[in-house]
Amino acid sequence: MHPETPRIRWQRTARLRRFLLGLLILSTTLIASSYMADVLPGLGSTRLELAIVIVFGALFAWVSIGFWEGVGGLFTLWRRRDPLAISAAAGAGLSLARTDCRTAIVMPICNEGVDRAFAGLRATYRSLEGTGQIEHFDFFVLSDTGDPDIWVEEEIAWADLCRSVGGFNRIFYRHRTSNYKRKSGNIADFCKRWGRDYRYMVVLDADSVMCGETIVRLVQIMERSPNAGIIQTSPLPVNRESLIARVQQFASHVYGPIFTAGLHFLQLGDSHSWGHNMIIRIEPFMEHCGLPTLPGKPPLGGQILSHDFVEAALMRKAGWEVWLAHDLTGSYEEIPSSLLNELKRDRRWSQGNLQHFRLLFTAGLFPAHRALFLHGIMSYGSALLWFLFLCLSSAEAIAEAFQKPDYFPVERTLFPEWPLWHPRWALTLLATTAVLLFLPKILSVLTLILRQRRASQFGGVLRLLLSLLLEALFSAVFAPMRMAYHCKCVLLPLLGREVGWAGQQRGDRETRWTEAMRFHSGAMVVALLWAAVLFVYNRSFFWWTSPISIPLIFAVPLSVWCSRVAPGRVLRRAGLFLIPEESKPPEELRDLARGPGSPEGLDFQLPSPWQQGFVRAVADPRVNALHRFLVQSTRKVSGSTPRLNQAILKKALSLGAGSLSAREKRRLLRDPKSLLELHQEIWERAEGKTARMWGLP
Amino acid sequence: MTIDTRKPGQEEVVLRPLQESRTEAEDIANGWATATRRALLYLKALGVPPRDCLRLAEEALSCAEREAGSPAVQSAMISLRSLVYPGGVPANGLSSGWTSGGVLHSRTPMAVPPVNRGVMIPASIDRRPWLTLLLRFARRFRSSSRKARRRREAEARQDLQIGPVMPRVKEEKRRAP
Repeated sequence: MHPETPRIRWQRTARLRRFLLGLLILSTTLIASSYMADVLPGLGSTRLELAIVIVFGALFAWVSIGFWEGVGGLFTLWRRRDPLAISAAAGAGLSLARTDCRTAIVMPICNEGVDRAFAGLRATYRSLEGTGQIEHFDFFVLSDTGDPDIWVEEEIAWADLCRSVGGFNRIFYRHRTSNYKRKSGNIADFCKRWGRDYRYMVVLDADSVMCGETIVRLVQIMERSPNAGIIQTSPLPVNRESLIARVQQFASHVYGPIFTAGLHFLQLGDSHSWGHNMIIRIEPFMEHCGLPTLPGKPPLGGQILSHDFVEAALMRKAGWEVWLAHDLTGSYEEIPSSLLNELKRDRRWSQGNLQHFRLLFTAGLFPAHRALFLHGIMSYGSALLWFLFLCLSSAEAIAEAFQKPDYFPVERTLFPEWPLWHPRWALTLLATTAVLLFLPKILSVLTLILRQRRASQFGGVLRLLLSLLLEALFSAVFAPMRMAYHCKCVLLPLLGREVGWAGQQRGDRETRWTEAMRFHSGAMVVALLWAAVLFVYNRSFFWWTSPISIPLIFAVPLSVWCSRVAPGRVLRRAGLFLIPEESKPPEELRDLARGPGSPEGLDFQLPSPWQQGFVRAVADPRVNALHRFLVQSTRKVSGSTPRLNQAILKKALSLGAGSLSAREKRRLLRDPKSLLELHQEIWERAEGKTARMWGLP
Repeated sequence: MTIDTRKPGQEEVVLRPLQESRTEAEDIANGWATATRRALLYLKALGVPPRDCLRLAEEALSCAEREAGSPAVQSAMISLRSLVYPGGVPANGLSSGWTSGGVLHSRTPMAVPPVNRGVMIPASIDRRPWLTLLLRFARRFRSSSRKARRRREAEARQDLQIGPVMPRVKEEKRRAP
C-alpha cells in the first residue's frame, strides 16, 4: 500500500466537503421550496405557482451556496491551524537564497491612469527591495495602450520610475501596437518573448499593490509545492473615499475573509484565479493555458473575455493545482468609486462570464471548475431569476385581486373551502432567507471580535457593529439597482448585443446628475409603473415589495449621492466603515499615497500644450529622444508607409497636433525617423503660429 | 503685364521707404529674440543647469550669427543641436540631467531584455464532447461494419472456392517472369 500523498489527501477531503455542501444545499432548498408552495394561495397547484416555486428554489439554492460557503469559511478561520492551507508551505524566513529561480512581476495596462499605475508599481518595487530579495525579480509594464497621449505619458512615467528607484534594467516597459486578445493576449505575448527567462510570474493589475513580503512568500510556496501551477492571493480593496466604495471596502474587509476561506475550504487545489495579484508557474502556463478563440461572433463567441477562470481550469486540466492563499495578507486592489462605474465593470464581466456557458461541457475539465463556471454565470444570472420571480409573484398577486374565490370547488360538499393564507409561514420563509443572507456577515463580525480580536482596527466594537448595521441597510438599498442592471447585462449578450471592454475608470470620480439620469431612468420608470399597478390592485403586496421598488424609484439621487466623496469622509472621521488600512496604513499604501512625485530633472513649468503626451513626444527634446529609444523600430516598412507618414508630418506641421486623429498620431509615434524630423522642424520654424501650437515661443 | 527694361546682369535697385526698412530691422531683432528664447527653452527642457544654459545659448547664437542667409531661429537651433549633441541626436532620453552626460549606469539601459522566444499555442479544447463521442462511435461502428462485411465476403468466396480478388495489375505482375 502506497503512503497517502498530500495530493491524494486534499483531493479526498475536497470531494467529501463538496458532497456535503451539495447535500446541504439540496436539502435546505427542498425544504424552503415546499414551504414556499404552502405559502402560495393555491398551494403550488397552478402553473404560475409552480413556476414561482421553481424560480424560488433556484434562488434559494444560490443564496444557500453563499451561506454554506460562509460556514465552511468560519470553520477554517476558527481552527488553530489549517493543515491543507497552501500558505503552510512558506518558509520561516524571507530568503530566496537557496533557489535559482527568477520571477517576473508583470503589470498589463491598457489606457489606465498613468500616475496610479506607476505609483503602485513603485510601492511594490520599494517594498520588495526592502526584503533584500530584489535581485530575484524583474518588473515588466506591458502596455496595450492605444491612446497616443497616454502611451507617451507611460513612457515618461517609466523613465521617471527607473530613475527614482534606480530600476534601469530591472523595470522594463513594452508597448504592443495591437491589443490582440486583450489582457490574456498581452500576457501571452510576454510569455512568448521572455517567459523562458523566468520560472514564475506575478500578475498585477493597474490598481494593484502587493507587499514585497507577500511576493517572496508566494515564490517560496511555489518552490516548495512542485504541483502548484497558480496561487491566487485574496486582494483587499483600499484607498477609496466615496461613500459606496467605502461601504464596499468595509464589507470586503469584514466579510471577505470568511467567504474566501470558505472558497478555499471547498475548492482546495481546484481553485480559480482572479487574473491579478497571483503567481503563475510559467512553463505549464505556456504549455497548457493558451486561450483558444470561441467559434462565432461576439458577444458569446470570439475572444474569451473572462480569461482568468478559463486559464485556471486549463491549468488544472493539465494536472497542475490551483490554490487560493486566503490567509496571505499584503495584497491590495482598488474598486470602482461609484455605482455607475461598478455596474459598467459588471457589464463587461457578465459578458465574459456568460461566454463560459460555451465552455461548461469542455472535455477533461474538473467538475469543480465546471461548477465555478456555473457560479460565475449565476453571479449575474441570479439577477434575472430574481427579476423573473418578482414578475411571476406580481402576476400572481394581481391575478389574486381579480379572481373571485371558489368556496365550493367540489360539488356537494357540506363546508366551503376557505382560501388559506399563512402570514406566519411567509414570515418564517422570509426570516430564513434573511438568516442565510445575513448570518455569515454576523459570524464574520463575531470572528473579528472574539477570535481575531481585531475590532480596534475597525474603530472599536461599537463602531464595527454600527457599521455592520449600516452596511446591511446599504446593501439592501443598492441590491435592487444592481439587480435591474445585471438583468440588462445578462439579457443584452443573450440577444447578441456586444459590450465594449474599455479600460476601467479608476480614482474617486463622482457621478454627475445627467449621467445618473441616463443610466437609471429606464429602471426608474419600470419600477414606478410596477409600484403603481401593485398599489392599485394589491395594496398588501405593494408593501411587501416596497423595499425593492422604492430604491429603484430613487435610483438617480441615490446613485449620485453615494458616489460623493464628502459623506464618505464624514463617515471616516466618525470612525464608521473604517478598515485597518485606514486606521494604520502599511508602508506600501503610504508610499502609494505619496503619488508619483515630481519627475527628476524637470525644474521648470512645462508649456501648456506639453501637458498632452503626444505634443511632448514631438516638442520636448528629452521625451522625443526617450520615445525614439523605446520604439526602436528597425523593421522595414512597406512602400506606402513612409509616404503616408510624410503626409501626416506635413499636416502636423501646418495645422498642429490638434488636427491629427489618434490613428495618425500613433502612426507618427511608431516611426522614430518621422518623429525626429517633426521635432527638428518645429523647433526650427520661425512662424509664431506654428510654434505656439507646439508650445514654443 | 510689365516689361523688364533692365540690362542683363543689372541688379534691381529697390528704394524702400524708411518705415519699411525699420520693420525689417525689427523683424530681424524679433527673429533673434525668438531664437534666444527658443534656445533657452530647449536647454531648459533638456535639464541643462541655468548657468550652462546661458553659455550654450550664447555660443549657439554667435555661431548662428556667423552663418548668414538662413533664418535666425533655424540656424540658432541647428548650432545649438551641434553643441548639445556633438555625436548626433541623443541615443535615449534616459539621462537624469545634463551633468550626467547621458551615462547613468555601467550597463546600457534597456527598455526590454533580449527576446528569448518561446511558443504558446492556444489549447485545443473539445467543447462538445458528446458530439465527438458520437462521431467516434459512428466511425468505429462504420469501420467495424466494414470489417464484418469483408469477413462475410471472404467467407462467401471460401464457400464458392474463389480466390481473393486481386487487382489486375498485380495479377499480371505476378504472372510476368
